[in-house]
Amino acid sequence: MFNSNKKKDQNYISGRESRRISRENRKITREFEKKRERKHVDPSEYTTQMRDPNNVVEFDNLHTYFFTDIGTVKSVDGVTFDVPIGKTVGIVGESGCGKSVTSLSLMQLVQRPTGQIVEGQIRFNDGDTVYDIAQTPTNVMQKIRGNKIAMIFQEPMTTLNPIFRIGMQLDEVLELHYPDWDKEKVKARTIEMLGLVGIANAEGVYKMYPHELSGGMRQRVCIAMALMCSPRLIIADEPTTALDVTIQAQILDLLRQLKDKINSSIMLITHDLGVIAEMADYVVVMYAGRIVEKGTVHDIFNNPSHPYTIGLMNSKPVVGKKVDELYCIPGKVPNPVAMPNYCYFRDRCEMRTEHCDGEYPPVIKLSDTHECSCYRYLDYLNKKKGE
Amino acid sequence: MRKFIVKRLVISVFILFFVALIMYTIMRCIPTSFVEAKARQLSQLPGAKSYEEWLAQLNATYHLDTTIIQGYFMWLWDAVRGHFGDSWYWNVPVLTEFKNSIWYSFALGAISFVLQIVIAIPLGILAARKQYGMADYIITVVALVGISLPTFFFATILKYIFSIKLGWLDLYGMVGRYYYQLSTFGKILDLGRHFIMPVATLVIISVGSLMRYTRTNMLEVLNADYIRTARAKGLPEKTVINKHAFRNTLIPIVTLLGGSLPGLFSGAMITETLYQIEGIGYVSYQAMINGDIPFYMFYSCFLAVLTLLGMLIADIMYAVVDPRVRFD
Repeated sequence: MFNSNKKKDQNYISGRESRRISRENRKITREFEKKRERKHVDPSEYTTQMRDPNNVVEFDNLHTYFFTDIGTVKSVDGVTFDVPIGKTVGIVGESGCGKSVTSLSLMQLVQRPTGQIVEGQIRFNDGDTVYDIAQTPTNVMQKIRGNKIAMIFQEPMTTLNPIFRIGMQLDEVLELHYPDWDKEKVKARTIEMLGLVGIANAEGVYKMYPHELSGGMRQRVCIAMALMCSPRLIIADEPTTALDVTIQAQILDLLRQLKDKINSSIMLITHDLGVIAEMADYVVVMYAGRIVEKGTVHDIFNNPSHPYTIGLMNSKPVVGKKVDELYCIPGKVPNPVAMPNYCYFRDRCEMRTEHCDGEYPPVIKLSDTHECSCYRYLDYLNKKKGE
Repeated sequence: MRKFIVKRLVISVFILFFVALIMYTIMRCIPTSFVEAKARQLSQLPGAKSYEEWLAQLNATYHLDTTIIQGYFMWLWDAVRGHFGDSWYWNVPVLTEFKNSIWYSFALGAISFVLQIVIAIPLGILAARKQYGMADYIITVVALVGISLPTFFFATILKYIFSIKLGWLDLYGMVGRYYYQLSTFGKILDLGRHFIMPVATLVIISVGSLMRYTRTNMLEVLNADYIRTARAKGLPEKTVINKHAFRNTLIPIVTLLGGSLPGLFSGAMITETLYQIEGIGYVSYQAMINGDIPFYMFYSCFLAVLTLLGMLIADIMYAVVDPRVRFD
């Protein structure tokens, strides 16, 4: 009786099995860590060439795995997309689909040693040199982080260190990346930046502690921190999720203005399609660690092609439309440890075809800018070939 | 801030009053009575008065013919004027006996306290940084062994290895055989040598819990969002740990350390007994089992004052290390 119960529960894992997995994981992660911790690495190992020099970042077949005690979680499993210079790329998807891990991989901030980039390249265009972030050693990475690539996090209430003054936390960035600046210059720049993000009492806030500011103010401080060194790329990881709606609009406006002012690109991670529509030039839709659809914002909003994107669009409430119940996509994401070898969305999909029982669908180009991984467009592909 | 301290001090006086009352009541009620033992002893001398007569006389002499409340207020009236009386058991003024023994205990406590901090905090941080790594496992196991081993067992092992097998240190005592023939510097060295094993015992027994505490707090802080922010700024790992994480880890540790102020003076009864160090732990224990009310009252009130002070200092330190805490 007990045995049959055990078999039913797919998530059950015995202690012995777990120990075996964690031992193997340690072996794997130790290799990665050893490679990462090397002192002197020849620059040729981590510099490379961009496929298109107009891009600031190119993700190329990125795989980021987490080696946990219950098995390997393929958080990001073969993600490929570009961020062009001066453009905003929005990444959408539900919680746990790998959008944050993608951005953290770019910063090399994935929780180590469990999380590792196991395959693929992230090419980052510095202007002069092109780095492959996946191979870059930590000491070189520290010069890129905060300087060339900056990140704005989701929770403004907890992203600032509670025991240091705002001024000190901002000065720190400049002191680190511009060691030849003197104290006065650093302070002047910090106060200027605080003014730029719309904080009226910049001198006063400079001396305040984070707990003396509201959530919106703190997010402004975080934005100031990110823009301190005029980075080439700003990663905004759900920057408005924790804020109320009126502040959301202000923060997004601010981000857009500042982006144009310093001519950088934005990688905007969100699950709010409204934000995407307002901000993004390109959209990447992720599901269970893979990109299911990508294209320009017009492609995605006028012609959503993947059933998951269509579902997302439908679950967005529309002003003026009267519905009894909000639409939601049925079912749930497959177990991340044991992903099926067919389309990950198949079991939730309302538009299944007979092809869907096959292996994971290939990427199908619907137009020059629009790509989608779904068997429904196989005919389209065949027709195109036939012509 | 000043208002807060004054308020706390006023409250402390009330707490002390009741703590002393409870202590006095207990001392009067415990079965070992100094007076009864003395009366029994005196009545057995040849040609002595009977036990009852001696008891009545001694009770009058030691003011034990009063009620507990009366006795307490008599003691209190003397104590607030600084008269703590003579120790019954040790036969000297309480303060003299206290002064004779407290410094040995304080030295023992202070040295092991400093060593504890110096060893526990860096190791705790190391264990947190290498969570589930080799260093973490070794540190955790050693810490647990230290916590679990009883003092007497560990002291015996130390004695066996370092005194009996290796013969480096004396088995017990505070000074060596030739102490009085040594120069001043030699005397200090000799005293120090005899403190090595007691200090080692105390440190190993108590270092584990502080280490585990540091590790837990550090792990919590390392998973905080602001540590990720610090890394995202491009700060080197050393700065992230030593500046951003450590300052936050300090907040809970400070309370723990503030609370251990009385521990510096309370003496370590078992360790002191095992190594025959005439510290306050040993002396107060003897006073306690012999029903020496004046000495024990002084000692327990002294510890109560230190405990209250320690808590006040911990609260003030809280405000020093954590800007979110303000006394308004």
